[in-house]
Amino acid sequence: MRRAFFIAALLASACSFNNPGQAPPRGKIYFPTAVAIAADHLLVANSNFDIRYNAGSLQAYDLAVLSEQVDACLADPSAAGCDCGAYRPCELPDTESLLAERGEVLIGSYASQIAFSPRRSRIYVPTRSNGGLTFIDFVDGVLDCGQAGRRCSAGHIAGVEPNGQQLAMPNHPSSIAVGEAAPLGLSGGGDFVLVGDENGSVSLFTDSEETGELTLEHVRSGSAEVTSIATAGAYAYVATDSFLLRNSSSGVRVLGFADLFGEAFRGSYVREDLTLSGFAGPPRVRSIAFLPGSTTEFVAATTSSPNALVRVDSAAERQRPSEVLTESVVSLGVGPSKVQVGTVGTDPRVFAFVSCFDSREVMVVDVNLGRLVSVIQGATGPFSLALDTPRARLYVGDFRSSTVRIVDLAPLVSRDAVTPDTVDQASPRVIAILGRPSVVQALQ
Amino acid sequence: MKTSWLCGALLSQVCWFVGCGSQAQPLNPASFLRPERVAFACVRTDKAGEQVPVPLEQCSPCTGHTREHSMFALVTQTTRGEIAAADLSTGRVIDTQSTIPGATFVAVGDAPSAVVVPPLDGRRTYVASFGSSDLRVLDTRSLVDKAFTGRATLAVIPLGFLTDGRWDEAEPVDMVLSPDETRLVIAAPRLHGLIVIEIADLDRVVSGELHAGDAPLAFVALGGLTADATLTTATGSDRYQVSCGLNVPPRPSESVNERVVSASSDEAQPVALTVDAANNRVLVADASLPVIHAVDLATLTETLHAGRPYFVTGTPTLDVVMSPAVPASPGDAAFERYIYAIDAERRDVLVLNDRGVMQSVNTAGNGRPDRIDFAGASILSLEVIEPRYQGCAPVVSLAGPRYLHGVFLAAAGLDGRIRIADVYDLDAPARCESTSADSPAPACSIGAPCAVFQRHRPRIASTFSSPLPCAIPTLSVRNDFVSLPVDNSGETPSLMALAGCSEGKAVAHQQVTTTPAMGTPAVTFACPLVGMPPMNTTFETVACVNADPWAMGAQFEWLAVWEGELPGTQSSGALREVDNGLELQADGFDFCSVGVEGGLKYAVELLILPADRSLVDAYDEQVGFSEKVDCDAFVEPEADGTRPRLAFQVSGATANTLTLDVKPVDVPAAFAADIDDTPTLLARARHCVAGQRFAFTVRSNGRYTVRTRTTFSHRVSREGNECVAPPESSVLRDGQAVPGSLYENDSIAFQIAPLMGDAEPVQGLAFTFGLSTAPSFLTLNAGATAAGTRSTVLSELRYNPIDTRLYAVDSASRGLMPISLSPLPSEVSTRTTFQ
Repeated sequence: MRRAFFIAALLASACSFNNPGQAPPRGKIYFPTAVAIAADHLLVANSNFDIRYNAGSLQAYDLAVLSEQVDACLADPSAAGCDCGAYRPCELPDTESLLAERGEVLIGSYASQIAFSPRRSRIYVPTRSNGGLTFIDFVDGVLDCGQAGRRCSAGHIAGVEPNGQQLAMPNHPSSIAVGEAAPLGLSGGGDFVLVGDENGSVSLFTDSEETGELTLEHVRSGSAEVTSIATAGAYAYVATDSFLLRNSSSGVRVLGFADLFGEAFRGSYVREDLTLSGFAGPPRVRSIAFLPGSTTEFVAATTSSPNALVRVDSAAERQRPSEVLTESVVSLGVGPSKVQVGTVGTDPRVFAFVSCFDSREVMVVDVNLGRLVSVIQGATGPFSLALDTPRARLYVGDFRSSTVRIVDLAPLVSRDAVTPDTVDQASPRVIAILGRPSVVQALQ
Repeated sequence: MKTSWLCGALLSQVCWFVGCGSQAQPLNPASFLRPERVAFACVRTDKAGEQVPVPLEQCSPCTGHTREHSMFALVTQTTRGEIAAADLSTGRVIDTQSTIPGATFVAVGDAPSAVVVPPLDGRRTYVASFGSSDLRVLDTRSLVDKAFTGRATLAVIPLGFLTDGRWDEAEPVDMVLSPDETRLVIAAPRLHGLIVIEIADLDRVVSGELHAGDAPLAFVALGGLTADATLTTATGSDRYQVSCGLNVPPRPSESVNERVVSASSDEAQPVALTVDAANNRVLVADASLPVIHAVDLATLTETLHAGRPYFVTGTPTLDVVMSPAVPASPGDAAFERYIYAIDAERRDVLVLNDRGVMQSVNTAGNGRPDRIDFAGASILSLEVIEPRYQGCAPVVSLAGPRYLHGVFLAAAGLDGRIRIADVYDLDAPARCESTSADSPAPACSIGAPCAVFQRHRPRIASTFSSPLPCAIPTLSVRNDFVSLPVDNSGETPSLMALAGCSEGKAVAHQQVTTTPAMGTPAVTFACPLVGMPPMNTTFETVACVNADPWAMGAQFEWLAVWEGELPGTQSSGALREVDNGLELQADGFDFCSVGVEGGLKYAVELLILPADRSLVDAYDEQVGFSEKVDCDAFVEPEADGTRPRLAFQVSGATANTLTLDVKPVDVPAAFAADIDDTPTLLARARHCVAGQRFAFTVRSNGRYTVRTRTTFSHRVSREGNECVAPPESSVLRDGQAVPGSLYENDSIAFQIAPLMGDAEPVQGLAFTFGLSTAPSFLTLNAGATAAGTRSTVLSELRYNPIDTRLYAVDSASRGLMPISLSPLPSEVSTRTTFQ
């Protein structure tokens, strides 16, 4: 008995319950779950997936600096900061040196997505570890979230504690979208922010320009996991997917804000629930994105049933009220995750880029032709995507290897240098890797 | 110990069941990655064991096919940019690099979009790739022969044009070979035209005589609609029809509808090609312009008509295929050729003849008469299949609808189903016994198989369901009390006579022996409805339906409700006593429009809905009435469970006023003693509704109200202020049926027997005449497997005329699926697919 007590005391003394843990090293890319482009910077949200550190992080890389470094490596593989091999893309392992002085802040772990408001110069990142929405001002490449050291202050995290309306943001956020509130009649200007959750709810925040306050206004419940949100005018399109409830809950829900920003919140502002027509069963929608300049035409990446990119126009003639016609369908690799739509360089064609996590590919689709253009390989866990249109580059958050893959898209639009002998090389490919790949075996 | 033994035994059983059951699927790792297109090659193994590509025809069983010959399918792999070969005779996929784990195929460009193997000279395979925008010439042996050690890619031709120093890529999406095998035609949407390249020039590149970049590419610009064009749609132009033993009326005589298609400033976007060998031209589906282009292969110019593209469709299209020449109708010397295309906006299928006239092909009533009715499916790809139509001697069999002999359109849907529409049924002459040489629609005797086939209609799978000789949609009759079994033997002569079908015409009749007997002739157009002779009025209830099997949906259902309400007659009005009767005035209401006329065929039912259901003190000085009124008596169910009613016969009707008999035809049981005292009854009613206007409804009186769930037809119209049914109006629109008398309208004829003795039907008794076994269209569920349904994206259907099978390519999950056409299965076994 005495021996047991001694052992227990010894073990307990080994634990330091007050140890705050280790902060992630500056510049460390660690299980990135979101990348985005804002104000000519690449934003990377690191999820700290295995809780090795005591926080996740958000990093901002100046795209001009980053591109310059990549170009330098491509021109001279032995250049400083480059680790280039004969048969692999150049690695840029020293990510810290590429960050500006205040180019990184610590946020909660398990960040789900990044939204940026150019009007407010503000970044919004929902995180699961604290079930809150972190907002970070981003001006001149400086991230400001009231941080002490690198850690964001509690005052820059909204939705954690119940507010005056006893509202708190559900703590499994999965997606986010931001839009301008003023055209919708919201007094005080500013933005609205929508955060979707795995439990099917959508939380509405207003970020008043007048007061500077981010306020949780309403939480609308739902039954199917919210996988993606995209705003279009006065509406938000909320992609839902529930494997268990797939027969009834998979599809796209349209929320109307004209109702929402009336004198009083009505609580029910679902305009319609859309299903994609023609499929044998309701497709599970993983991600949606509107075509440039359109508020009705969007593409949806669906998974399993089947793995495909579907183009839809919600304003097109319908056979049934809630069923939108599937205009085109392009089959994809396994496990479509995120879709990004945009143009490349000065080429007017609209491309959709879809990360396929399980088959480790990024598919490139010509949206108007409804055809697969190219398959970008070389990532071990492609998940989040950010398109740099002017530089014709795509940034792929590689979750499995804790890196960001940099893809040269120029071959999609410019073949000036193509000859019959070089035609094989004329495809988009990974040209550089931000960070040192560190693949977790269990995730391979 | 005993427990552990039991657990062990149980565990072993579970293990056996899970691991050793015969249902276990063998592990079959997928080797195909996003396959999309397919072509065929015939290979002969020579004496040295080398595999030599030979003309495709040599693999045909009709032309000396031996065991040395093998048919291969060459399948594009768009993810990896490869071409795979599948040996169709052995079921193996050829792994060209056995030293590399997994299947390895021959590399081509990025995202290959088309593959062509010349049928007459299969030594080379041509692959166009969208992503890398090139054309590759491959040695076919490199694809099919594992022992091949030579160079697989013989040439790579960049597809595009150098304009002002800029390389404009073609980005090919489709490619076909000219009928004489001298040219490849490539669709280049980004360039808004076609690229044509001579095979001879490719040979020169392969031999080194010509540099790949110098291979001459001809460009055919595709024009747009520079001015408005007329889109012509013929109705009733389709003469093909096989309907053995059925009184199918002739199709309406041909008429032509025209509409203007506006000029479009868009540029052409060719996305799919098909060869019109008879006219040595290529047809081009355009995803941007509302036309199908025709490009002459001799002159390499677009064939124009009045300065615009030859075929005006009125809508952009995504795919196009063409039928061979088929007889305009069975035995006809005249031939027709048809063009089928997928509407880019609706993803349904339109039909033109080769003169550019859109065909009217659909009577489903969905507002799309010029679209083949595939029940709203989103169509992804098309193919014309011709099993046994050409080539080997046709095998004509008297088989069911799943045996496809002739010419058909196969359409693959987004839902993974492949649908079949008739173009020309080779078995048609054998299905019917001609009664005369010049009879276009010969009849057959009872017992012989019956058929209803119409060109461009989906084939009905149950047409020949055994054991029914004519199992076209069967009519069911039921009422609230019994669900009546149906004898569909077709051998009920008395009913034949009753149905008025002429002798020698086979009609599937149905009869039930329940009393009252039910007989339900259930054949499309089986009975000449007009002029049907009087039926035996004793005990027979018979019905005859007149429905287009392609037009009726699951909703085809007629109701005959005893003293049922006339739809749309719920309203409210003021009731007052007049000389010798009552008058119900409903301002703003139009009795004529809802089918009410004078003549005691109707009754008005007052709906007494008491505001206060307690006993009400009522006093009416005018009638000297004073009592506590039990308002519940107007609404509480009667002792026999029926609903209490206060109803009066309608003796006259004007637009907004009904004249009623003073004596009610129905009173609540509690007031039965006062049935002759209408003032007292009305005084009670008025007090119960607190002096408000009476809500009322009109129902038939001593008759059945006949309607569908959504429609009600009548023949009452307004003359002056009177509601009358003019004698000259069609009796077929009367919404009333009398027991023991024939009721008929355009869709259905029936007679409901009176009940036995003096019994009267219970008010509300409903007979439902429903087509409960609506025809299922013949489909193949390409996604169905023993383990469940897998999602598919059927990117291509390709008919192989040599082995007379249809090949479906599923780019999502199931790979290449060979499909038998005789019979067409309902699903494709996993064991026969190449994945």
